[in-house]
Amino acid sequence: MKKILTTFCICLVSSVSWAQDERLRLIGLETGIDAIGGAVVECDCIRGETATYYGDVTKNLKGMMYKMYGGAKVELHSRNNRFGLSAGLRFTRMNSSLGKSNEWDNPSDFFYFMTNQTETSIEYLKVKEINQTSDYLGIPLSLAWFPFKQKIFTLYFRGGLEFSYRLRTETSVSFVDNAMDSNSDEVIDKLNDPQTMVSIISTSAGVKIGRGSKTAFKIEIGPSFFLNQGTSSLVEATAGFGTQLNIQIPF
Amino acid sequence: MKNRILFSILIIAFCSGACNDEKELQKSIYVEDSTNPGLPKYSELGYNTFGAYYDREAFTSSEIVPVKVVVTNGETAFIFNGRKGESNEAALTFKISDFEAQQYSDLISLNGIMLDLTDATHSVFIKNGAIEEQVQIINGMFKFNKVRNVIVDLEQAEIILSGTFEFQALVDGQPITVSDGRFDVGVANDNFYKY
Repeated sequence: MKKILTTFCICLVSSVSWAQDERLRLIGLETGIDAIGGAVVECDCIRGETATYYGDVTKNLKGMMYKMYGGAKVELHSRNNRFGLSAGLRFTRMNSSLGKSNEWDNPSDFFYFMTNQTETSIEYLKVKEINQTSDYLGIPLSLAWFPFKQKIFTLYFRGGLEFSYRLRTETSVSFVDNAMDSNSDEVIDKLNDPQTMVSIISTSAGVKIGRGSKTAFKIEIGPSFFLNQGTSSLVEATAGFGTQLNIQIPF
Repeated sequence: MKNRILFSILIIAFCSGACNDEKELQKSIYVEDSTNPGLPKYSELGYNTFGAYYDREAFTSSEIVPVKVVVTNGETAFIFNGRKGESNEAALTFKISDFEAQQYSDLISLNGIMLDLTDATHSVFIKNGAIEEQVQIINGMFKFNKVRNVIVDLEQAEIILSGTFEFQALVDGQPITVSDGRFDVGVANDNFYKY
């Protein structure tokens, strides 16, 4: 992690030193969406097993996660226009859900969530789904490489790092019996809070549409990887795959 | 669920798990005990498993109904159905003659009770294949470490019996040892019988 950061800082400093004369500088807006994969969090409080005898406790529960984001960034190109270093500010909304039901499946599906256990009793609630939304404010840093001479359509590759701070989290619970709605807090209290900081490393390939010194659109796709755990209370996020759109204006 | 449509438009959707079978508290959850290979890890959450070494061979639950509680003639029997070794059907029955449950919820009174299996009020039966016989206990115990009510949506759903057992006995005149026994099973109306 430190090595990656150090390498990035070196690139950043280098780019500043490059910017002694006229180089392409771009300012722009970005938006994107990533599907995120990972395992359902392990918790004795979740009882969602099925008939599989040698299964684990959370088998067949579905944990789904995705993020959407938008932001602004500045990109500074090298003199030969082969490299572009960018930094900015990004707002990210990360959604995760845990359940056995979805739009296509039987809506009566549920799992058991243990809210309390004492010496003489164990209390469960039948839960259809738990949803969690977290908002983050982050700083994306990235380095783009343009291996070919830039034309109207230019292929490029990008590697980046993102450090985000969690602003807020909202969790909601859908019960089988609506009369149990008043017990939402008992479920939520059992879940671990998402981590305050999230670090993501990403790579992508994209196409830049537009002449070098004109307004340009960029579209890129690629995987990303979570560098820390606990991003969500419901899904242990490990990696994602998504697409990003950019519009950039020279300044 | 919010933004469901977004899930469907994602080209690559990662998810953990896939099936959508019905879920019930009655299903077994087998978590192997790393220190006792072949046996389920000791638990007290109603995982519907049991296991023990029968002369160093694993005897574990493998039935859909791992335990049946049968109350008849003033006796309460706990019948553990499973397999010994790879495929031999077997059952272990503990009978308590001085305890008569009227309904499954009465089992809660067994919480913390340890039975001395050499006591004349208790008896143990071992079934190998189709043959069942009462064994002569040399020494041993059967303990209900924890008996708990399971409440689902504020209503009682079952009773969880969790505990341990071990004994030495004579079977056909030959000594056998049942060791490291543990159970964590749910009892409700569907596996409680009184007649």
